[in-house]
Amino acid sequence: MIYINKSVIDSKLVKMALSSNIDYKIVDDASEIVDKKSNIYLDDRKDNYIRICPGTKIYRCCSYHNIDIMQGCPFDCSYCILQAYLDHNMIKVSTDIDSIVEHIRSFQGNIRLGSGELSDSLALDNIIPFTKIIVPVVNELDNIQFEFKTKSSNISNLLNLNPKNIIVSFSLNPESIVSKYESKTASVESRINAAVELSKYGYKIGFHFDPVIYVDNYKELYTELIGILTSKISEESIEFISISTFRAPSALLDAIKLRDKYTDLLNSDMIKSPDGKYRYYKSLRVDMLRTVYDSLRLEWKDVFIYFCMEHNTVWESVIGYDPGDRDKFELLFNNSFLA
Amino acid sequence: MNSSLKWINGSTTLSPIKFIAKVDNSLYDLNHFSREDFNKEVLELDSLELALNLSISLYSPISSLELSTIAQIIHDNSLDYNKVDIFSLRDIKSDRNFNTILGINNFPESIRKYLTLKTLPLKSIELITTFSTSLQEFLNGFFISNISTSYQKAKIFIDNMAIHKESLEGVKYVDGFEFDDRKISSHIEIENSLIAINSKVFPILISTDDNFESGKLKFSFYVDKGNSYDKFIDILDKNDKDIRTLIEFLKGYDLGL
Repeated sequence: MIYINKSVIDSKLVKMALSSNIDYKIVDDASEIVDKKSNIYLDDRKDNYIRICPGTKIYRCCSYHNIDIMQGCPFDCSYCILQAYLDHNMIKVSTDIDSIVEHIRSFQGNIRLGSGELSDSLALDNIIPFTKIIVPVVNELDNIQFEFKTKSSNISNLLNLNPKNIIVSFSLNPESIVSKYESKTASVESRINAAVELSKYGYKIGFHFDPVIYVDNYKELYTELIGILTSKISEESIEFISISTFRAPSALLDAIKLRDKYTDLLNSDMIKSPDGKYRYYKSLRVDMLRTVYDSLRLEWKDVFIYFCMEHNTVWESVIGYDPGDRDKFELLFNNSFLA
Repeated sequence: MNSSLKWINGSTTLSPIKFIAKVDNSLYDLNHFSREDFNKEVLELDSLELALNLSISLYSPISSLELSTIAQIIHDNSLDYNKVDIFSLRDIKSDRNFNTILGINNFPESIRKYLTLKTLPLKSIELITTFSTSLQEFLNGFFISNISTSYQKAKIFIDNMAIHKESLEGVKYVDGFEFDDRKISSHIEIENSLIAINSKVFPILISTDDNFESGKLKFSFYVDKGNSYDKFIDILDKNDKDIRTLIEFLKGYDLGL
């Protein structure tokens, strides 16, 4: 159900959402709404919409920026950080489009920006069509590369837009892991098919093997998935691939246990890292990352592959070099699209 | 009778009729190759490609090895593989893919035998074509011992060979071979190795502050009236070999030392 704060009923975004003849209810504030994932609340929340991705000096991070237009996600992944990060289950959407666009336009210098941190970028795009707002703005700017990151196959709006400076990225895991831990998301096959369709349309594609999750036969599962992926889409369409294993702050571990105290998501060798997050023990982690990296490299020799929030010693073990601090790391991304 | 179109690998069709193509006044068996005890029907066709299409349509399924033999016929007769439907049906639409299939003919016997039993992804076959003779012999050894293995296991084995190809050069396959994968975390095993070394170097403590996340091994001791600096140097010297063995052991676990 969509709930609209009465103060934003005439906003552009609400009009776009209601053009799809969807049921809605006007409310005075969020307290009138049952706090669950299936409820979407639109209001004029003002915010500092764009933030640099949080990171630490201990683990290597790039200079990616997040734009938090939506807070909350209709999908229900067992490992999702939002369980610990947000204090609500409903999906809160800001209708403050003008400020969002102004923020995007105001950036000086080259920047990579994405909307997939506090929500799935495309899961609700058929209802709340942010792509129709963001893409034309980004098309005009030569210093912005915008990434829509998703576990959906909801790409129909994108197929009517200009792909210039837009990356559409898909999070991938073997289907058995998706079935077990990525509730309500699109199947891996449909995500890959969506990626193929978008690449044919002209979009650059990204893939995120994040989080890579430990199961006994992870080598077989990830190798098989990568075999399927690389047989369906050409390397030339791929802008980048990220890989990172499951990690969680203690608050997320608590949330995971709370939703399923018998979960086997945590039944592996995890240690507390210097940044306070729990990660797989290093030697296991390196083996998992190497499995995915080497399998990808067998087929795709040149595509840029990076690790998200990994220690420089892990980079050196698997890839053979240290990407350096934020600024140096950022230079590794292909910014040739930028002026 | 010209039977140069024989591509089949031993099986036969259910057809009671032996079809023969006549192309440019030459005759080619399309089925029941080299057998004459059937009623015969001669079909006049415009090209060898059409003859191959007709011949292939009489049989099913077609193995990768048979596909390779068809590719060889195409190559030897300077035909156009794009006009032989089986190739587009198998997603073989480029010269590179065609040459990959052609390469199967040169694989050692047990690899070819496996390809009559199971279908491997084209990319796996392409990987095999990039292997040296020595690596192909190694893979051949694997299939001699594991001819019934699933295509998924075979694919993973071939992928692993590509990853480890440098260390496999000149190696002979032996039953039970396993790739020298880096050992997966055995947290307890590593803890035990630290306990063992610390029992030898006490009161020096060899430890990690952060589960090796930063790739550092810590040596700590206090010099005071009862424990002179020389004493610690002596301990380290006496245990030098064991300490170096420990460091190599930890490196083997990718702990970043």
